[in-house]
Amino acid sequence: MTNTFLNRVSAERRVLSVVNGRFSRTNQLTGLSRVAIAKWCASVGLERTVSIKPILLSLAEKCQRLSDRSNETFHQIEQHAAASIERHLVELEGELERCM
Amino acid sequence: MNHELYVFGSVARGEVSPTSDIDILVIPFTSDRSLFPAEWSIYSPELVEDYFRKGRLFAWHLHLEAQCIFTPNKTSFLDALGAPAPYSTMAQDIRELEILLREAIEEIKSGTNSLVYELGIVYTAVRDIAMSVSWALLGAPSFSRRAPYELPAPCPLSFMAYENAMLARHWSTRGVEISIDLERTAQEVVRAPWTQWVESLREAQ
Repeated sequence: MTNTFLNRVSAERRVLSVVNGRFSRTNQLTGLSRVAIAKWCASVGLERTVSIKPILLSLAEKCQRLSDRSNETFHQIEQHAAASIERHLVELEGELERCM
Repeated sequence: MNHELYVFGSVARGEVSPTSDIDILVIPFTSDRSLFPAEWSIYSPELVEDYFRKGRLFAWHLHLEAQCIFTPNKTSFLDALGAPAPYSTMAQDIRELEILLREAIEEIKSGTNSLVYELGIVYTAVRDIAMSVSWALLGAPSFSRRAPYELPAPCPLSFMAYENAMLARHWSTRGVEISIDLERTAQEVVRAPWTQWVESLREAQ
């Protein structure tokens, strides 16, 4: 356990909050694993989520990087991932606004 | 093929259930990570060696449970490393896991719209707290998902609620959707005396 996992959970929580704030609990995005995202898209509607899915997958990868210490330049990656998450969150909110 | 593959986690312990998956560890001897599925755990040899030198709990997990299923060498990398240094970051780990637990409970209390996710985080935090203290309280580390119920101060959550939280975690990470009473589980999680439990574990060390 390191606080990198705490950072990852905080970031994932923000993404889920943005998505789940717009849907009923029966259409809850339960996590940022590939399979959870795929199930959510199928549940909400594949056409409706066609432009949202790649943003979610990208955010999932960035969040994972926050707790991924298998690279020697970890610190730089963490900073880069955090900045990138912010950009993608704005994009996600815009896309949700447009599609819903 | 310049990498090693290991199986670790529940399957390596024989602890299987309908929602089990297989944890694969990759130790690549090149820097190209794109060769492997995103779900696999990929750790550079330098990092694994660092974990062993520092006595991280994950190093002990690998040392005691990981089964090598492929190596291009006569002796696997983990076997060559031998035993890790004694686990020395227990206090810090428990502190951080307690924060993780508290944050998830606060989210649940405030009526989160991501209840499945938060219950899964509760499961992860409780399980990992138990794994961390098992080193001191059981004489040998336990990486079983039942670890919270093997301790002298048992987990204050009913086993059924704990298993529901585990299923919520599997729902988040593996997409295994199972019918569980989320609200009832959440109520039990919120009511449980977590502070006393963690304190009693600290005192018992």
